[in-house]
Amino acid sequence: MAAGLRSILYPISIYNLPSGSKYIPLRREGQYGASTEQKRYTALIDEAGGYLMIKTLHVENFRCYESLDLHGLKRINVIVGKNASGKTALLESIFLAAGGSPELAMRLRVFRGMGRQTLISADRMSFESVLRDLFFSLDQTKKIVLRIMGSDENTASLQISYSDQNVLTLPLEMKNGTSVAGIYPLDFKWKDHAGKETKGSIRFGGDKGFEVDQIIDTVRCAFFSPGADTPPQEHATRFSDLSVRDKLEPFLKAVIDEFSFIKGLSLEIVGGITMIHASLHGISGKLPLGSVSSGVMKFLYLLLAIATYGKGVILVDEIENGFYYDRLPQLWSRLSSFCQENECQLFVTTHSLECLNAMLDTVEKNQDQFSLIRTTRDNQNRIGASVFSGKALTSLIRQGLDPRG
Amino acid sequence: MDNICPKKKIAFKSSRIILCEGEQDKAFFTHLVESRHLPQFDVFCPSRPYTDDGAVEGYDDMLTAFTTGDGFQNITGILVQGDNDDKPQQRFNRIAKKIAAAEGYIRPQNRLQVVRADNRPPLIVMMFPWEEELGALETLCLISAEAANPTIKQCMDIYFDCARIGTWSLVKQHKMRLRCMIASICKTDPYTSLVHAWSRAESLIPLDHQCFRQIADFLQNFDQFILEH
Repeated sequence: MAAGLRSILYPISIYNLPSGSKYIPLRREGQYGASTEQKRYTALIDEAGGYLMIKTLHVENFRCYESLDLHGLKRINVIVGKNASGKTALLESIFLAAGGSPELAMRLRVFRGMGRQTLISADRMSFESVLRDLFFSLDQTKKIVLRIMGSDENTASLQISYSDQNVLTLPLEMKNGTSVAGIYPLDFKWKDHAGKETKGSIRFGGDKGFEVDQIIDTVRCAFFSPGADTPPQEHATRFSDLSVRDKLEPFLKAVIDEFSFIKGLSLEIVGGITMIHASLHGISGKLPLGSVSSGVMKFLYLLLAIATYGKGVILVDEIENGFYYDRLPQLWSRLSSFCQENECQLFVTTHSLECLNAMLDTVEKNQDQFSLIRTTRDNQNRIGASVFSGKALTSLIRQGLDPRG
Repeated sequence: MDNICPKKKIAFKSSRIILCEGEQDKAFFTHLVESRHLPQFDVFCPSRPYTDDGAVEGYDDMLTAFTTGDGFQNITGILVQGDNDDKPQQRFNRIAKKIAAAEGYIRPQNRLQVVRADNRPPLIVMMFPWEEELGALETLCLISAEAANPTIKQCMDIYFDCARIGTWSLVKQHKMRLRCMIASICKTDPYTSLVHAWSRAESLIPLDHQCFRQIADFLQNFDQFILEH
């Protein structure tokens, strides 16, 4: 390792921040805890005066988007578009705006396949290079602005920019040539519907690595990314949460209806880690979900997230991955009904025509619940996106036309 | 690429659209525009479902699907074509109903009426063979093909008497006669479809015949018609 460089391990779990992280107390300190996640969210949602379902989205200076406004978003939003046309960036913008921690920005690096470790040195350029790609055209002099507006006209917005106040954090062991002057924190400012601001930042923490403020989630949001390696205990926590709230029954019924070879699901501890296990017909004992099938596991985790994050937002990048083609129509049907029952909103990307065609029956019956978002890159390499109705999506599929454009 | 992705796409090359009943009408318009050097139109027809009511069933889907096409905001007019068949008013009403069912469009009350709806291009319905006349595309094609082959026509008239098709509906008679005419003059493929009638070496249905003049004139003056109505 080169002199003056530090290897820093990024967190992947919101519950497992690195030692360099700093927690800002929640507004109702002591009321919330990881095991009572639901209470925490419910309180915040109630405080916000109703749930925030995203009807419109404003993106400015984020990733490939210089400026974008999307209107007419629905309960299930299907995002299509060519490679490098901004599909994942769209999900990420929602993830950051609807989330509530600067740490989410660090997670995006992992989702994007950049690994959990990075090497930085104690200088401004090195620090700023880590999250430079969040900014449109890599121009970090402009603010990132993300704004969502949902039901009841509730809004949440996020501004990301480098602080105008230089906070110096001196490493414990200063070496010759080490300079931390001029390393400005990356500030995240969320604003709720009442105009109340919540701030957090990512700072250079000297030997400790990055200091990341852990704040709150203003909207319930989960991101399923092919690059994400969500720890099984996170899904187990959701499972447990449903069980505690006596809301496991519809979830279990949906799973068993869908996969008749599954007898039941339970939480078991293996190697000290709690994870969901399945008991199967014809097999004694219980298997971890991952050992049953990656498709089954993904399906269950999706339903689980929808059931847990009721009135929230679930983001799924490349939803078709892991599913056998004949499972897809039922997948859409189940996702649609689950989202409606739980008032949850879904944003999914797909490249698969098979996956889109499989949704015909479901979208025909629920046209007002769907939207089609098509991302585009024009001949001047400007990225944009357009929203089309569920009726348009139905028409395209029914006429054998390609919804991907 | 077509082997990988055989799906049809909504793509606009010009600022005018024709939505017609089927592949035969699409071939007709495409070749008429080309042969008479008319203004360019993008020609579409519903691909499904083909029900007892014909491809008109898919008009609302197609009009709605157009809104997703790249460049839809540049479209200056849509011409919707249908066949009168033996029931002109019923056929027009059916098309008008499908237009009203499309997202954002307004039901036209009459043929050749320019209908304007918010955020949608002006739309006009044109019925074949023209206005309220009985018939279909085949009616016009038959006139042209028979005029180009008068000797064969005389023999065919005798055959049609023998076949006793006089009790058939007018449009069905026209379709039968046209099929026989094409079979008798298309040596390379007597079974060829009307879809390919203008792509063959033989001149089966000349598009410069007078019977197509009204349609060609309308297409020629399409932009002006929209401006004036």
